[in-house]
Amino acid sequence: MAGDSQHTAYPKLLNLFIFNSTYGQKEGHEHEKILFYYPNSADLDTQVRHVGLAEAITRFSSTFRKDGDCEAVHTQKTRQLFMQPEPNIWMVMTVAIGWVSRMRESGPVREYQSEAVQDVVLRACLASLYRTFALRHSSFNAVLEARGLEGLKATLESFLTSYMSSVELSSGDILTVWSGVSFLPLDRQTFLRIHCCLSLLQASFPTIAHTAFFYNQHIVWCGLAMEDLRSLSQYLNTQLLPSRKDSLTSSTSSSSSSSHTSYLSRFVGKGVTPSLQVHVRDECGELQPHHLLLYSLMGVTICLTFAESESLTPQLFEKIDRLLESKVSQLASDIGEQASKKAGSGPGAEGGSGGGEGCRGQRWGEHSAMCTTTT
Amino acid sequence: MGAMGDARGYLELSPDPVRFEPVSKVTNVFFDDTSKEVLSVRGGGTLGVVVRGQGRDHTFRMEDRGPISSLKFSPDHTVLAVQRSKNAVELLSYNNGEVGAGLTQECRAKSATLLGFIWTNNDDLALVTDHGVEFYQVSRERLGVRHLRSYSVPCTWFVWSPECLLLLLCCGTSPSSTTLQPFSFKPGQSTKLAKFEVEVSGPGGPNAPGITLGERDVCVGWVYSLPSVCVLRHPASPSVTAALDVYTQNKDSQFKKAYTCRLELTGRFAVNIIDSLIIVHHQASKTSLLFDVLVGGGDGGGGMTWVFPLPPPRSVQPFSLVEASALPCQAASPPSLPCELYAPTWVVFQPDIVIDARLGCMWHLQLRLDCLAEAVQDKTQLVDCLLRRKQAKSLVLLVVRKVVESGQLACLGQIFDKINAAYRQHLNTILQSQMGESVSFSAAASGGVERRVVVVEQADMYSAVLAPLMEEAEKVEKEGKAGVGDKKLSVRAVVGVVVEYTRSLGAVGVTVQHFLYELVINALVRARHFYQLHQLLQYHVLADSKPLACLLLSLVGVYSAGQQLSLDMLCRLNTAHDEIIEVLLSQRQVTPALRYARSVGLAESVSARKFLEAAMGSGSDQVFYSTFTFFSLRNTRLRGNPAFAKGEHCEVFVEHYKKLFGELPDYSNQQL
Repeated sequence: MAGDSQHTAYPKLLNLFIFNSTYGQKEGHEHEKILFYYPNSADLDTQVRHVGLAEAITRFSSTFRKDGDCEAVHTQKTRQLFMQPEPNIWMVMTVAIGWVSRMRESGPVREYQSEAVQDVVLRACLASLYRTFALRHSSFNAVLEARGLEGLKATLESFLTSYMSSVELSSGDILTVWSGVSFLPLDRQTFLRIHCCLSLLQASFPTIAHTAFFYNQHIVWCGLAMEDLRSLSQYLNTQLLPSRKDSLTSSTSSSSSSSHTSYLSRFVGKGVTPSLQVHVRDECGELQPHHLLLYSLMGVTICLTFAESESLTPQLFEKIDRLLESKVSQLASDIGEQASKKAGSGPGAEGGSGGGEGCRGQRWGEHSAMCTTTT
Repeated sequence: MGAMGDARGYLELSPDPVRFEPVSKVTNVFFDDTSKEVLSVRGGGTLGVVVRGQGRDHTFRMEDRGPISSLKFSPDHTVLAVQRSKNAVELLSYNNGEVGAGLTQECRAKSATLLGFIWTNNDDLALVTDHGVEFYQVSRERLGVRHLRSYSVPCTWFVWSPECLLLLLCCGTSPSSTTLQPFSFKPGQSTKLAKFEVEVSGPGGPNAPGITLGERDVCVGWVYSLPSVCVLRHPASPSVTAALDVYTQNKDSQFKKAYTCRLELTGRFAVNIIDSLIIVHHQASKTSLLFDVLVGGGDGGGGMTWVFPLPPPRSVQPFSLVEASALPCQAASPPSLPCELYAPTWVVFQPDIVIDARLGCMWHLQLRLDCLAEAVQDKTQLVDCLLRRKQAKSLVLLVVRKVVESGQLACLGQIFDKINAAYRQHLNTILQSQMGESVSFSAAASGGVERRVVVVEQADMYSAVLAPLMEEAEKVEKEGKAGVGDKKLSVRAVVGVVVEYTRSLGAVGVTVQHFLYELVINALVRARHFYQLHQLLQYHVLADSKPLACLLLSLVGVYSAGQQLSLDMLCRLNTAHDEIIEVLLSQRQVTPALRYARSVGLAESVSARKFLEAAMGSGSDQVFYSTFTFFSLRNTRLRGNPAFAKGEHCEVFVEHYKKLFGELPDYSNQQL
């Protein structure tokens, strides 16, 4: 009875690797297949063995199933998930299944909780990982073409290291499966004001390709396609905004009231033209590289995308700030007021307040109404 | 510019001036402010008096009994009043160019000097003397005069406004202010109102001796249905500029300073009040300033508002007199003579009269709202001003369209807000007239200071601005970005404009009409922005309707969420049960359809054949079995027999059932 931790174990990520099955065909060159391996503390031999086994499983299973890939391998202690997001490139994740130690006649016995690990959840984790990668870098093949094999490896390394530090891959719930976005409940008039603010922004800066408006973690308006919204909101909520919150609080503690002086402090990123490269769908549904600007003020985050060919200048940032600052702070305080009012009035008030109510609650209600007819 | 006028000027002289014989050695010219006529008196009347007015033109002769200092017709032209002496007025009967017998009415105050006389009505004559006002009734039949009332107010000069029926007496001067005594008139009645003081010294400047208020500096007119007194305040020192104070009559008939128009100029001014707009002519710069007291004011404290010129100062439009030459002219067109504008010989009368006594011309000054629209930079203020002008509706729409086209979207929201505030006010008035007087509390509010008369309804905005813009934007987009240089609006921007308009309508609580939604929906669908449409629906920006639901349904092929959106909408409408069932059946969701029918109480009445057909088409035997059983049970319940009625045409399904599952079961002993 050393410690409680010895009695239970929670699901844990054992490894995560990405390999290209067409590389390293010659014997002794199998390590060339590996594009990324976590944990990188594992020696090359272990890496090659795991990759080899995974590839063998996928090839073996493909003889039985023509219309799809091998999805998962269940063992007593592990669960391995396979995903082939691009031809011949496989993402494989292995999760250790949690267990509970119980006393039996023969002594302590570990009972593995295999139900606690769901294939769909893990698959969704992998899919959202790939989606986030695609948002930033388009695809594995695109990076390969642009930067070569070493470039791809380096990109994967840096991307996944930061991704895995902020997202827990081995756990998830139904929300992960659907990777849904949560819409902010707002009345019609406030929503329209936000919409008009963004229209004005787009009219003033015609080079803006898309706009999106977030309040805290909730989406209010998105000019992007639905698929992109999913990856964008995920990326924002898991990676960009939490880190920003930390940096903001630390900066305000060190230097007070400096946020007022610099318009750049309201943009997320570094340098005089803080922006990120993302790949989002254009009007024809093709993934195209774009600049992503994030303007963040009082809980509101406005995402702006520009086509990659547009050059961003510090003047542009300043002009955008001049247009947005007062409007956004006004909107943010109004939204906050509404949200707190809603929270104060409780769920009972929601039904009575009628047509202008926020969409999330309403939509849930409708779904349940429709569900009774469908199930 | 200047003396010859400005082609972009927002004022013009009426194209057909009243011509009269100009002032000369033998001719005296009088202006009758009641009938707005000019009377040229030649040789003291013996050589004829020519009366010239808009649409009126007559001549008469009368005896010369001394120099005439003033003459005026009664409003109905039956009595001519002539002043020749210091203390008396001659009243002569007049009938179509014939001057008849008359009488002389002397001032009742013996030592008084007559300052002038006014016709306040056809029968009412007021004599203004330095001792006060004497009010008489003139009976036209026997040409008698009856004294009604006298007011004793020492007076140095007076101003009479026939428009407001308001008489102002200057009855006291102190170094910094002048006291004015107003009288108001009704037929047969006169009322002495509370006197008020007006400031005389220039704004901010110390009062310098020698500055006194003269009758030239005071004018009276209607400003937004309030009788208003405009007082020019000349600067005491050259470093400050002049201002125009506007005193308006409040509910207690007292005059209070409400506005101060900042002239930012010094020198000689003349004032016209046209359609509640105050126009100040400046002689030195030969320009006119235009003020709308309700637009763009700044709070000056103490209930007083600073008003700034709406457009930059501009001259009146150029004017040329076409001289009908005496000699038969060789040239085909008579020579036209450009007139000097803002000439020293100009005299200005209320409300809109400009007279050049040397040229012998009387014009009506007219507003050119189209030029005003060009001149005013701040389009929000412009629209605010135009909304208060009659017949400016098409111009308002034009301005909105130009604002959108030029991409000044920043002020568009405010413009829409102004327009819709007027729209709301109009709807309230309609509502009140329908509900009777029970809602009198808001009557005061709507009749308040807003007073916007132009009502732009949603259909107007749609047909004049939004629809054409959308059409244009879509055409440009369809042709491919042909001219990158020309900054045409994108469909997205026009959608933004429409949404802005609906926001503004929503802000004043006006229900948005469906054609506006249609515009947005169609544009978004054509541009394939389905997800954006989805979001607008989520936030209930677009109102639910059956046509919209059908449209969404038709999009299922290109946007899969359309079906659920459509079903949700139909469900919310709560009047479309049949449609929902049809949609579900068409998706072969027979069991859900049946469940839905049952939940809305239609299970007893829906057509069995429709459901069985869909069930058979679904290919699932289980679904068919359940559906068939459901209807067999229904038959048992309704008719005590599981068989279908003849009219239901379900024989083919019975056969199908038999083929699949053998004989029909007997439900009669089942508990229902």
